[in-house]
Amino acid sequence: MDRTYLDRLRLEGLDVDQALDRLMGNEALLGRLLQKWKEDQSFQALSEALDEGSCEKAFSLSHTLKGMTGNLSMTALYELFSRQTELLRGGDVAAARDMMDRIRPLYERMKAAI
Amino acid sequence: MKNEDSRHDGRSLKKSLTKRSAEFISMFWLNIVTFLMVIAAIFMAVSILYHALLRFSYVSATSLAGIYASEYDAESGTIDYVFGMDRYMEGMSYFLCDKDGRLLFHDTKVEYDEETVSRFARQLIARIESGELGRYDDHIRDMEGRQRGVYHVRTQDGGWSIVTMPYAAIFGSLRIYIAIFSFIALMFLVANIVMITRALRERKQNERLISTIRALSNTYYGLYRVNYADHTYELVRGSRHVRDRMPDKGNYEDFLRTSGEVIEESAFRDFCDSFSIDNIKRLIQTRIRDFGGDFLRNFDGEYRWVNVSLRFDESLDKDEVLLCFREVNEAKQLQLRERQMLQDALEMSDRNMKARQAFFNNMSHDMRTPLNAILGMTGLAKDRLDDKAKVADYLSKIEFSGKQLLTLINDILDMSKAEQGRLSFNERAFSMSGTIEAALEPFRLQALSQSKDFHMVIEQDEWPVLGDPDRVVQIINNILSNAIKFTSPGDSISTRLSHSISGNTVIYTLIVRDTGIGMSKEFLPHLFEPYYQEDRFTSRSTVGTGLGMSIVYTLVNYMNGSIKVESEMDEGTEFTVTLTLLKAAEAPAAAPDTVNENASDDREPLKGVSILLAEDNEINMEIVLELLSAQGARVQSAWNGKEALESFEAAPEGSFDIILMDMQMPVMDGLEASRRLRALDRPDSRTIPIIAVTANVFSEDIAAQKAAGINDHVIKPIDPKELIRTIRGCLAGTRA
Repeated sequence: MDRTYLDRLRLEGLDVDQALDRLMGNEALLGRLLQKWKEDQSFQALSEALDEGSCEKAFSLSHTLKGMTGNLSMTALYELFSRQTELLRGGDVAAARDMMDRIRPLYERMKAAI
Repeated sequence: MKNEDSRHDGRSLKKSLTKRSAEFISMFWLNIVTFLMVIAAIFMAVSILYHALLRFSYVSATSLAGIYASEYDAESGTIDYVFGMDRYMEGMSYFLCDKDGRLLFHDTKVEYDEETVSRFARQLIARIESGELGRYDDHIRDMEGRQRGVYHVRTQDGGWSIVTMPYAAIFGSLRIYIAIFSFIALMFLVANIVMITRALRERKQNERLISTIRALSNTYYGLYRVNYADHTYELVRGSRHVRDRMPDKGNYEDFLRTSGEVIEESAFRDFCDSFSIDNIKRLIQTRIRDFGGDFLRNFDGEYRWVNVSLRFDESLDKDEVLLCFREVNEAKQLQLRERQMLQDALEMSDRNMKARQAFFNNMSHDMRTPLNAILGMTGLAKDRLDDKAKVADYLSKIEFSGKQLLTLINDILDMSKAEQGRLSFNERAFSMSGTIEAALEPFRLQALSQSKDFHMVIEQDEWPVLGDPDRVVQIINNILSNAIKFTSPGDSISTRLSHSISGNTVIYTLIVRDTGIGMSKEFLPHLFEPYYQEDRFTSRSTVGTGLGMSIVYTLVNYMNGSIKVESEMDEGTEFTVTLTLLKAAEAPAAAPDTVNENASDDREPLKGVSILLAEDNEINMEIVLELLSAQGARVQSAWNGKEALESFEAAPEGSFDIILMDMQMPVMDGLEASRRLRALDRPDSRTIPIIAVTANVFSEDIAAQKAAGINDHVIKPIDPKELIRTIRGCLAGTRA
């Protein structure tokens, strides 16, 4: 992976050093995982669940995204999904849906960067 | 008191027992003597009769001898029997001899030739002449060996007239009677002996029974038989109070009143009601065999616990019950103490619960504060992306808040671990003075930047010691961050590390003194209690969990050290931490982050470890899979709890060394899967370590995990070092 790619990721809030540390410096693995993440449909499903107002489903999806972004050290997204998960744990679907407006641009930009 | 009472009673009981046994023994001898006397009397009677009969035969046979001698007709050589011999007595013999001892006449039933008879007669005469056969009871043995009485007179011409009579004829059937009597006497004797031995044995058994009953009744200082039909009592063993005032038998109501005098007032009425005749009757009707309770009784001015019980038993007489008093002071005190302890424990746990509740309320507030700061600053920074200076400022503030949040979370985790008694210590050789110096440096900079004086005196050591430097740093951080927190610009903070060596151990003393706001006298004792914060602290808009000092206290204790604190309101605070550490043999390890075992393990710390990994998310699964494989572990993956459970069940026993369980999973979550797995009926299901992979790190969640049989947890996002350390810790735990 070239420097600029990694820098772009850094700019979008991916703590590359931490992620690589977790993957024992395996850049290829990081690349593969990021591709996987890009293809993952959880985010779309989460949007739908929130629009439907299905709290349980949304909680599970948000939790999954929190786990993924956490493990991939997408720090900003991880923080946001964490907050959202807690909101959904408390049953506050409306607040969680409102958060999507802040999450979505970050998410899209991360996807684009990858 | 009670003992004296029972001793007294024991003595009297013993005395009466001794008396009874003496009576028994004298009766036994009396029996024997009487028996012997009866035998002697009978013997005497028999002997008198015997001699009387002999005398009678003597008189009659002697006169008969005289008569026969005079009747002898020398011419014919015969006797004209006036008293027919065979008519007089069976078996009688008669001999008549002249003065030369020649046999003139004889008459015997036994047929012997003349020669033999003459020789017998001559022998008789020889014995008579020697005076041998002069008495009434003198006798000979005849030629057939039978006893015969010999009776003789001198004839006018100097010869001998001799009558002999068999004893058998004299005594006749008397012998048979004597034999029968002797036999009866013998039987009587045997029966007597049998009876006496049986009585002796019974007496022994009775004595044992009595001593057993005595031993049992010694637990009672008062025993009374109560007849509820006659309203009377009978004293079996009386308390001294009752013995001194009451007769051995008497009216039950009087007894109740007297024995009630020493009962504690509040219990007295209950006592009288419960043991009234009416109530006793009611109890008997409802067939209650054992009724009673405890009360306080006055023993010579001291109140002690006593148990009274009313016993009803078939072995007692009709209409009778037994009233038993027993001292139970020690047992009761113990019971009361235990109850008190239980109550205290309940209160304590209740208090802890409340403290924890309050803590969580504070906590959510404390966590929101830095989070809000971070989010707020981030928003601001986004709006001013062009102003580099501003953005840098916001970033540093964000960083500060983030660190605060991190400290908070670390504190909670440590506390939670400490509460469960499993704080992990990673012991290795390190330099104490170097570690402390390095740990103090950031605080020095921070103090200087806040215009506070910071003094640091470190006595350098030249040897490594054994311990966990991370934990030492944690102690320093907690104490120093408080010192920074509670001082204002112009205040000073001084630290001093000194040591003393004793053999192989080094005693380090660290003093941290500040001139800050100090603590109130009321708060000081609670300083090390978890979740306890002085109100004043929060009003200073500082972020703290109230756990820091509690963690320090726990850590210091874990390291066999001590911590002391002195503080004065508005004067300042001084902490003194003493740690005793062993000198290490080797130089400080170059790589401090290894997990205790040997070096070859460090490259592949999980070599050969077989892991079952339950994780629902593909990416997370791959990360952990990759991470573990790189450490040499073999990993089998499961996509939810149910799958994990099935994989475990399907695999032969001992296939897996450890299970990593994500908590939030579809189909079956981690808690449920762990619970079910622990409940499986195979040995390794109970022993295999389960590590929770969780985002929920509050103590309730940890408690729930513990309840489900989970041994440890790691936090998402995963920190590889932490994960490996936890896995190895768990494996070491099961292998140990």
